[in-house]
Amino acid sequence: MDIIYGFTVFLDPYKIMFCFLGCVMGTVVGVLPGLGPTAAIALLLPITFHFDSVSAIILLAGIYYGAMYGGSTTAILMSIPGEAASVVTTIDGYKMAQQGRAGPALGIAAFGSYIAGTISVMGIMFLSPVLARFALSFGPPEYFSLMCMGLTILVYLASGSMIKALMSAAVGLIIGCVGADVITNVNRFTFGITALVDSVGIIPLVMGLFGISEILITLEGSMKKEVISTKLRHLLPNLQDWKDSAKPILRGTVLGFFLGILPGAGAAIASFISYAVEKKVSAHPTKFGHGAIEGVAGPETANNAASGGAFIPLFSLGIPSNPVMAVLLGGLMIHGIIPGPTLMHERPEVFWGVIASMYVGNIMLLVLNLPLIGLWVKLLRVPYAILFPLILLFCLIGAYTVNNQVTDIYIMVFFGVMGYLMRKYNYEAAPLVLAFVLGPMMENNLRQSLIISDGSLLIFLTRPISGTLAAVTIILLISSLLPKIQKKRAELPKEEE
Amino acid sequence: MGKDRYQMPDFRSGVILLLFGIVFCFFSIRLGFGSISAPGPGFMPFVSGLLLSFLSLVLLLQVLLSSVLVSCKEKIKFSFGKVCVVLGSMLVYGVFIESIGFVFVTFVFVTFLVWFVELHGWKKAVLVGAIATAVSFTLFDVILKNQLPHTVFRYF
Repeated sequence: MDIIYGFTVFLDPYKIMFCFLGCVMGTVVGVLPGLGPTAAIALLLPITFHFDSVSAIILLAGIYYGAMYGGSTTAILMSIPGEAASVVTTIDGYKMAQQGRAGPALGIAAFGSYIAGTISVMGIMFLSPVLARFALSFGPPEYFSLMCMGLTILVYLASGSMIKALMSAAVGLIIGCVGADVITNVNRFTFGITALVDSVGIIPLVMGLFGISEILITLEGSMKKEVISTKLRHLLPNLQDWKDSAKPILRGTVLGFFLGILPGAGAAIASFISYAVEKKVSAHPTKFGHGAIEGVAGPETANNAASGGAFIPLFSLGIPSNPVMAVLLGGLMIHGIIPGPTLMHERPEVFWGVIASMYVGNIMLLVLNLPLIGLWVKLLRVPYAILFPLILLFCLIGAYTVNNQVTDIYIMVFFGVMGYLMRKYNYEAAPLVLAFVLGPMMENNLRQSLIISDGSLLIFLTRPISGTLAAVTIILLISSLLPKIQKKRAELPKEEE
Repeated sequence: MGKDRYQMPDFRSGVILLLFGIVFCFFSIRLGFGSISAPGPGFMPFVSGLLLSFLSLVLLLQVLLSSVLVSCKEKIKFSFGKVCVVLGSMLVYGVFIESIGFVFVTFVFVTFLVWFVELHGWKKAVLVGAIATAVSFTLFDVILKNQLPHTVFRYF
């Protein structure tokens, strides 16, 4: 039993401590608006250079699924989602808080998250090896088509204009080209800057696009947010709450998990679709928007299940399905771990150790979230005027300590300005980040495929797996032109953080 | 109508990205395009630049066609004051961190920003600056052993 091996790896005080730290940091990141898990993982990545690879990945993974737990607190108590995946929780969660039912709302969010988190870890355990075995038959054309499909799905599910989302992805591909060419070693667009020879660092890029830009946007608006003053004594949902929430939790888990696996989809999309499904199947759809507990249970469950599912393509194919996984991929590679079909054989301690940590991490989060909600609420009362210089400081230190060079600070500031302008002009950053990470892999696979086929592009269409993936990509792109699909896309939430 | 078009954010961003894409394609060719059966280092940059240029053109066409039908006067509001001060502070931090040292620059950076946003209470700003500096120095330098620049005194 591989999972038993995973527990033998994980059950070491050092690793348990990192799992706990990851969960706490994730919860804090989820609670605090303005710093999402993508920026937080990028921020903490340089710190993990001092740890062994398994502990580092356990910590970073804990931040991601921990943020999904924490996000509900601000959504329910302040009507401000701590991260994008909790946007829909604000609708009914905040209404419940206004009605004096913040306790059951927070309680069901935590229990639902625990159930979804645990089931999705089981899913990773069983599905990853199967997918990895299947991926062993992949060659460069299959990988290229798969990455194209992943990017297309992300663009397809991006909010707002699809053309703009595609443009973001194109800019990401361009930025991904910066640095020495892996085959010829020719420096491309480095402008004589030594720091760019190894390509643009993912840490300054992500911290700039997500962390710095978010702060700049927040500074322009009002920084004073009101926390609902409510009694938080009765956190355990009553029997009726459980009856109302059982099916939404089950549906949210299944839906979220499979949407999480899908390259390009993510936790925010999963929570949004779960809310729509719950409203559709409910016998009392008019209750939604007025404090329906199903409107909290479904989405909060779905976003946790999706965060688990997202690990599958990363671990078994080596392909990140969303920006958080893209940063995590960067983290894995920095630690000398190459995720993909061979990960489970070459580095079983990483795969099974992280899986085991997720089981324990979900229990830790349940324990952390329910009794400590009062503490998280106090954290929300820290004035933003104090909080934002600290976040900026950690970004600066994080950028500097990657390579101990000031250039990374300037690169981060550059991407901070770029992210700020992108938000102003309604361009999403998520396609850019994913394209930036996938770009070099896509280039390698594209060049190898063209060399194999002697320049024939038909290689992407004639091989069965590659052809199927390419067909899905083309169908998605064409279907996006249909007015009905365009209308549906306009209702989708942002998957930024 | 022509004036309205220039006020459209999408038109502006479309023009900028179109120019960027074209310039990028031009420099990509100079890197060496290779051939379709043996792509060179400029192949992928060229394809990416071409894709961006094409998409920018589509966006511009969308804007131009819609502006004929609907006169759009949408404007994006910027409040550059705070944004420029924050960005400037970060750049100054980068300029001086290696010459003056981590501790002093960090203290000034945090103190200034806390004071600047609240615009009152120097004492509070100094206190937050001192605590933030002490905590970050202890965490990153002492515990995690990152090599932060020390220049003022021996250790700071």
